[in-house]
Formats: sequence, C-alpha cells, structure tokens
Amino acid sequence: MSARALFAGLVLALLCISGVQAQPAPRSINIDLARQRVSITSGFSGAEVLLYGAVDQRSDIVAYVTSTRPEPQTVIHKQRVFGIWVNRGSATFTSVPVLHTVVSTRPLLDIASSQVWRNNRIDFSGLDIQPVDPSLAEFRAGLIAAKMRQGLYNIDEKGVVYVDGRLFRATLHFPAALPPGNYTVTVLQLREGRIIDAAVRPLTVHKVGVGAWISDLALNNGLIYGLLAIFVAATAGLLAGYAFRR
Amino acid sequence: MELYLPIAEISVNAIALVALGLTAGFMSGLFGVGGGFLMTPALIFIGVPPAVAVASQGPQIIAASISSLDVQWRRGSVDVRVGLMLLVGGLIGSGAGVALFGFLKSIGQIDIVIALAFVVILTSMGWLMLVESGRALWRERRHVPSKRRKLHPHYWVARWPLKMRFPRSRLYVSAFLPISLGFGAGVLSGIMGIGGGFVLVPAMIYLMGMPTLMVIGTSAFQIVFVAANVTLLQSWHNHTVDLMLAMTMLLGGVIGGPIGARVAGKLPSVQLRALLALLLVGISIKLFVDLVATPEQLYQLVNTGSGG
Repeated sequence: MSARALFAGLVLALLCISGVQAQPAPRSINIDLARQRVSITSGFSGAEVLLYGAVDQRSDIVAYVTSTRPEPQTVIHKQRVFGIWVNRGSATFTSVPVLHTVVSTRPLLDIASSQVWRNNRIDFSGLDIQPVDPSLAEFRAGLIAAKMRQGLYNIDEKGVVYVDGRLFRATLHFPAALPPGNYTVTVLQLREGRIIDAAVRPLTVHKVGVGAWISDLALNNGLIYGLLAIFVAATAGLLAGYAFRR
Repeated sequence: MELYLPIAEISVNAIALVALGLTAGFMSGLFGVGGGFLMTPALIFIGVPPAVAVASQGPQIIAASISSLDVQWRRGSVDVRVGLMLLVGGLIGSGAGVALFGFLKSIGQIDIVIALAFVVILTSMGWLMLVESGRALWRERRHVPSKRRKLHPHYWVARWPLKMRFPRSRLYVSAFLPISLGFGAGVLSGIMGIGGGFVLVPAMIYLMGMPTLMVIGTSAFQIVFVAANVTLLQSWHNHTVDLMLAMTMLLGGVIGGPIGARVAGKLPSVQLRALLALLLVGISIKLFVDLVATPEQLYQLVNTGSGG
C-alpha cells in the first residue's frame, strides 16, 4: 500500500468519525437583511430590501421570499355569455403563497436540475398550489400569471451579484400590491447542482400611520368608522358651502 | 406623488385622485347631479377594486348633496313631506342594495353587475335626455311654443291606492309613488355608488308631476340620508369604504362643486342638459365596449376574504 493511498484512507476515516460525532459544522453561508420590517406608509409605492451575505467559497446563490402562512385564494375565469364577458367558473385554492419571489446568480436551470427546484418548492412549478377540485387544474397557470402581473410572483435570474470573491448582495423588490403579513427569506448556497447550505431570515410587512389606523378601525369598528366618515363628509360639505358663499 | 389607499391596498397618484374629485365636483355643481356616475367608472379604470370604488363614493355624495340641501332649504324649496316618503323607500332600498352588493361580492360577480348596471342606467338616461334636450333645442330654434303641461300628469300611477296630500308641491298622489321612487334610487346607490339624483330628479318631475322648483332640494334631502345610510352599512357589513380615497376625492369635490355651480348659472339650461346627456352616452359606450371586448386576461384573482 502506497503512502498516498494510506493518507487517503486516513482522511476518509477522519471524515467518518466527524460525521458520527455529528459536530455542528461551521456555517458556510452567513446572511442578513438591511431591515427586517417593511412599513406601508401613506406614500407607499413598493419597497426594496437589501440582502447581503458571505460564503466560504464562491458558489451559486438562490434567495427566495415567500409568505410564511399561505392563504386561500379564489380564481375566476371570464367567459363570453351573450356577447358579454362575465365571470364564469371559479376555482378555490386552499393554500397559496401571497408572495413568492426568487433571485439568483444565474438562470436556475444552469445552477441545478429542474427536479431540485421542484422538490424544494422554489420555482413556480414546485409551489404546492392545488385547487380544491382537482378537475380545475388549468386554473393554476392562470393564478400564477395573475400573481406575476401584480408583481407578487417574480423570478430574477441575475438578482444576486458578487461584490468580491465571497461577498454577495441582492435587492429584494416588493410591489405596491404587497399585502401586510409575515414573510420568510431563504438563501440557498449551491455547488455542482446540490444545495450545500441554507440560511433563513423573517421579514414583517405592516401598515403604519394614518393608513394603519384607518384599516384597523374599518375592520374592527365598522360602525364607528362609518359614523366618522359621515360626520367628516357632512362637515366638509357644509363648510365648503359657507366658504364659497362669502 | 403616490398615495397608498389602506382599504383598497393599492397605491394611486394623489394628484390624479384630487383632479378626479375636482372634475366630479365641477360636474355635480354644473349639472346638479352627483358625480358618482363619473367617479365610480373612473376609479375602476385607475385600478381601484370595484367594490371599494362603489362603497367609497358615499362621503363625496353626502358632502355634495348636503351643501345643495343647505342652499335649497334657505330658499324654502324642500318639500319635507315628499322627502320623508322618498326617504322611507330610500332607506329600505339602500339596505337591500348593500345586502345584494355583499352577496354579489361573496360570489365574485360584483364587478360585472356594477358594469352592467352602469351601462343600462347611463344608456337609458343618456338617450332619454339626449332626445328630450334635442327636441327642446329644435323647438327653441323654430320658436314653437311648448305645449302647456298639465299641473300633474295622469298616468297609471294616478290610480295607486293610499293617496296623500303634499300641499307644498300641490300634489295629491299615492304615498307608494315617492316610496317606490326612493326605493329604486336607494338600490342603485347601494350597488353603484351613485346618489341617484339623475334618476330621481326626472322621475319626480315626469312621474309625480312635482314642480321643478321643489325637485332639486327635495331629492338632495333624500340623497343626504340615503348616502349616509349606504356609507354606514358598507362600512359595517362590507368593510369596503376607503376613508383615504374618499377624503382625497372630497377635497377636490368641495372645491369643484361651487365652481361648477357658478359656471352653470351662466350657461343656458337646455344646452347644459344636452351636454350632460352626451357625457352619459359617452361613458356608457366606453363601459359597454369594455364588457364586450375580449379581456386581456381571462383568469383573475378575486378577493372574497374579509379584507385586511
């Protein structure tokens, strides 16, 4: 047995031992978000959140943002009836991510096989979106297209850039249609088509200021909200009348 | 400058919204009708969900009609007795309208019903007014004296039971007549977000035979309370009133209204009516084309949840 083979065997044995001991390996990816809260103010027209991180050695990075708790969603299909386009037929989906955006260093299929993306529910084909009635499967593509029009579903395959050899950053874009709620940002490190490490950060989106006050009152105290609207409108109408008569 | 609408959950251009309110206010001052028929389609066009667009008209209508009521009240041209009868029907009708609105929203058909209602109402009212003002213009030009109108016309409605005296308007008609007119206008205001003035005013003149002088003030009386009822019910049951949206439009509306009223004083009323008729027909054609044209997207998401 040559010295080289002996050395290789030793390394292999060491690797086995470390595996058995199950010591937490040092993370090979570290990330953070520039902010973990997005505030919907009166002037809100979408938001950008900077994601940055470092890896032990240059590899492919895929980051995706998805809603922590999927929600039910109804999709309608328009059909022509007597010459008029009406809502005819609808499908209900029990759990649909409100938002699902993906950014990566390269096109996803260059990084790994479609199976990897599907199994880990990263690309749209992998999302667990199924209608209650399985015969309405054709509504799924319509739902995803509608979400993409709103900017809530998006894939940006050049969104992650390396600043230098091991530092990377990405700008996560959120459209004006972003609903308040809890979101999860997951960053994957891949090499040779396999996921080798992952890191997760939460992101909260909430309304603030007058807007938050209005929607709180509207949902929780509709009666008072309605009375307030009437009072303000009546006062404004009467005041404007007096002002213009002078 | 973008403005985030907390109930609609979209952001729109604030300046466009104020301009829209100004235009609607100007129209309501100019023609003496609420701007709802213009505002609801315009808001839907800029991307406000139809349910929110309709429900958020209430405050604007309250403000416009309360200042009109204030003026007419001072002139003594409000028939409270007729107004109360209209209101009985109006409150029931708007309650039914809001309930129907909530039901249609829950089954995802509200947009279509709103659009269809606008097409039907605007088309019929627009063409009727166009023909009527065309005839008036023709008579004016040929100097044909208009036929003397009876004090009150005797249609089949004259045979309805439960007749009531309305001394201020010198009317003796069935109480069911103003009640059913109020009911109809109430249903429309619940579903379409309009005050119903442009349906109510001609109906009061031609069906009830009410003196024209009393009509504007009396319909404003009914519309203030019906719009308040709609605002309350929409806020309470459907949570679709967007205060941010309503207040921004209101800002434009209260300024535009008096300006429109001043311009109206300087224009001949027949030409004004013809202009309004053309506008109604124009909007109805646009809405009809939208209904018939193949939509760009056949699949759409509906928000049937409780909102938020």
